[in-house]
Amino acid sequence: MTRLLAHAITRRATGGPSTGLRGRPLEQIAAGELDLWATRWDGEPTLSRDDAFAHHDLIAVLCDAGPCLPVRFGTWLNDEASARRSLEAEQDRFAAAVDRLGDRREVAITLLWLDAPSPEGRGHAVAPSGRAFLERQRALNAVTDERRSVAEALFEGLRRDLAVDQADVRHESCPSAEVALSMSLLARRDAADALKARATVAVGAIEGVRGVVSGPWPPYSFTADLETDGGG
Amino acid sequence: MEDEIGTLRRELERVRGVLPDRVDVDPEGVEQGLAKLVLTLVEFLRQLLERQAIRRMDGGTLTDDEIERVGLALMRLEAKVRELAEAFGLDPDDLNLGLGPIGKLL
Amino acid sequence: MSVPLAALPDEELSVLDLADRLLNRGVVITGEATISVAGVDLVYLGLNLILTAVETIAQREARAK
Repeated sequence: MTRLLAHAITRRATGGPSTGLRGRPLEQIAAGELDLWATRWDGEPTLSRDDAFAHHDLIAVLCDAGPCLPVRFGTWLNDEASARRSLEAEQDRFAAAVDRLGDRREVAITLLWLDAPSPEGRGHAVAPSGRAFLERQRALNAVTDERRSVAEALFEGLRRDLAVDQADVRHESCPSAEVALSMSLLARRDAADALKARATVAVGAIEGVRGVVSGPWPPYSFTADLETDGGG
Repeated sequence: MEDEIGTLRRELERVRGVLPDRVDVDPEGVEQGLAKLVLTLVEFLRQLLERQAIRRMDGGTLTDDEIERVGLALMRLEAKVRELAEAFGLDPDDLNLGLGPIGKLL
Repeated sequence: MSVPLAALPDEELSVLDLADRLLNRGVVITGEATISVAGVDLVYLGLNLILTAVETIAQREARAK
């Protein structure tokens, strides 16, 4: 029994890589105006960390060749025929996404708190009364809210500095205890390196956080906009 | 025994919190994935209720007795959520859907 | 308690950021061809819609005040 592991969707292409993950064959499955690129496997392998990054490398190659829509890692398909049907069923949505993302790249910014709140700081000892608990939580919530405000302000500042279009940026403030801000910027392929350099300078100037700028990568974070029509 | 991708997902909890974008349907992961979803939702609701209670306490619209009862109930609920999270191998501090903009408006 | 994220070198943080995108982002192909995930993804879509709806209501109420 063979299965297909999907990597990316592109417009119809006349050529491209022929080797997928772990040296296995890479299938180029035509469906209407689009191609789906997938590795053909025997049986049901357990995917490894190396596979995830090989998937990334493959998408990067496809992105370099033209507009490319990354598929979520771990998307298994039964066979060519069902892959074709899935693509044709939502042809317009996928084609629009491929065209909108075009040959854009993603630049990622992560800001870490230099003074990350310690787990003990949340105070989980039993409070002496219900009222004392609420008063304690009020104080703790004020700290959390303040951090979130700072994070949102950092986001607004970076967005202004890096002069990006509202539609081409995603962010999450305080996604976890140690991370102040997680931000993704979409840039034209030929402008992505320059954006990364500007972002590195901007991030280095911010006090109280450690900033890491990554990419340019295929535009993984910008495929989610497609999903808001609720699917099935 | 957890596979590499499962291990990677757990490492990522420190970057983006506990709520996964998807729950693997493989039998070994599904229990913990569902636990994360349920506990994150419960904690989210608990925080909403807690903020409401604090606002009403500050606004003087709760009696002393109500403050005490609500406070104790929310405290016990928080402890229970933490206990359940730990039982599923989750870090309770990362059960963070985050109130986001909603938090500021409440 | 493991090493704080802030103590990791830039490269490792970049790898974590990339891994996050690889595992949690990218388009989802649903429908008959998908063996795994699709049904549960809809739960998450629903969750997003619920949260967005709550936010919209709260914003309207805040403006009305």
